[in-house]
Amino acid sequence: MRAALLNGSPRGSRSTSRAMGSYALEGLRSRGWAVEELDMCRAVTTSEGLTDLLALAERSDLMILSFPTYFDSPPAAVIRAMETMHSRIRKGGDLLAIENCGYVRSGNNSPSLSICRLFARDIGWEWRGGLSLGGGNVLAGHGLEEAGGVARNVRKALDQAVLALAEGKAVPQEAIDLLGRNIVPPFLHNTRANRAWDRAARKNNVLDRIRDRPYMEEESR
Amino acid sequence: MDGSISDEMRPAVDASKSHLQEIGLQVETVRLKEKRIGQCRGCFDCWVRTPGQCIIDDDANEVMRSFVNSQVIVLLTPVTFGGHSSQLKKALDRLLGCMLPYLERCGRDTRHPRRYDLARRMVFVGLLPQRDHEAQTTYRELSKMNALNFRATAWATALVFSNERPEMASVAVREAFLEAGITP
Repeated sequence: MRAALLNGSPRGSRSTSRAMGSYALEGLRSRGWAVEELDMCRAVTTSEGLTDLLALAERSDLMILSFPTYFDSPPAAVIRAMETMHSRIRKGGDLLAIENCGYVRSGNNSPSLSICRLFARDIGWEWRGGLSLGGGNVLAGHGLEEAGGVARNVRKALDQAVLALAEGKAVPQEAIDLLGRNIVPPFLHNTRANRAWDRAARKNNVLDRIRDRPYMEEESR
Repeated sequence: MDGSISDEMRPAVDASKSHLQEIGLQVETVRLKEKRIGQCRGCFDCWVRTPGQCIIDDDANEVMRSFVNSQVIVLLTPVTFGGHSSQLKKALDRLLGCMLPYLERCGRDTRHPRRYDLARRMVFVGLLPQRDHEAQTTYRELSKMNALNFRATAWATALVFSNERPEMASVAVREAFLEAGITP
């Protein structure tokens, strides 16, 4: 059996999307699957990339879409890849989606998940389920093994999902619920995130300008 | 903001324009397929390096200027697997800088505060080939969450269908404007 990870994060190999997707992919590889990986954000920018994307989808039994939620839905590159596959793919297969968002509540990925399910429906692929993580920035793109205790539930949920997928089953609800739990308490998440933004702005010497409004017409006149 | 690929959304675009003009608003139509807009790189520089400004120099900056200075935003798109087309989504992804990086409680949820204070009403117009309950439900949910994320003061969704008469699109769009309180 052959699985393909399609990473939809513009941050590429430094992303939480890739960390989660590659962890799942590794689980399948260790069970004897042939595995491949493709960066969707790069692939959709050239005709050669789109050709590679289609060929990869055609030869895969399982496609894993892993991406960050931007403004409540998959990034533009992921939608572009879906639009291309929809009009061109002839062969069937299975689809798993892994989404993460910056808000701590995983429910914020809900429209993204529905979009992936409808994509599977429209291309005639079997929907194997969607795994949804809130507060994905906590993992900061680190490998899940390196991330330690904070990623314990993430690893456990992905292990359960991989086990089911390897047996040709859908992702169990237990894995979906486990990953859907708050990765850290919401209050703590917001406080830490806000401090981290301040630190980053300070490092770039723009903390005093962080609320600038460069496009406000009334102010610029 | 018209995220269509061909002229399939013309009746909905025309209905939106004429309604807004009738109530005395100045209307700018942004045809996204004619714009040069690159993908968001997810670098967050628009938050912590060049606040409010994307580091990519292309037409998305002009779109941002129109977006933040408009009282009413109409997003038009062919509904794509229940969501926006990639054309429209590419422009939306690049609007991240119109929010601040901070997270704040908003009811039971968390949101980013607005960078710009302008009270904004939003109307989401989605085109489907025919009625499709699942896609319609997803598009409505997405519209609601987008409106909350952009901190719209009021919003509404209109769904129009290619297999129905063009006048129906006009009716649906006008109803949505009324629902969002966009009236004379």
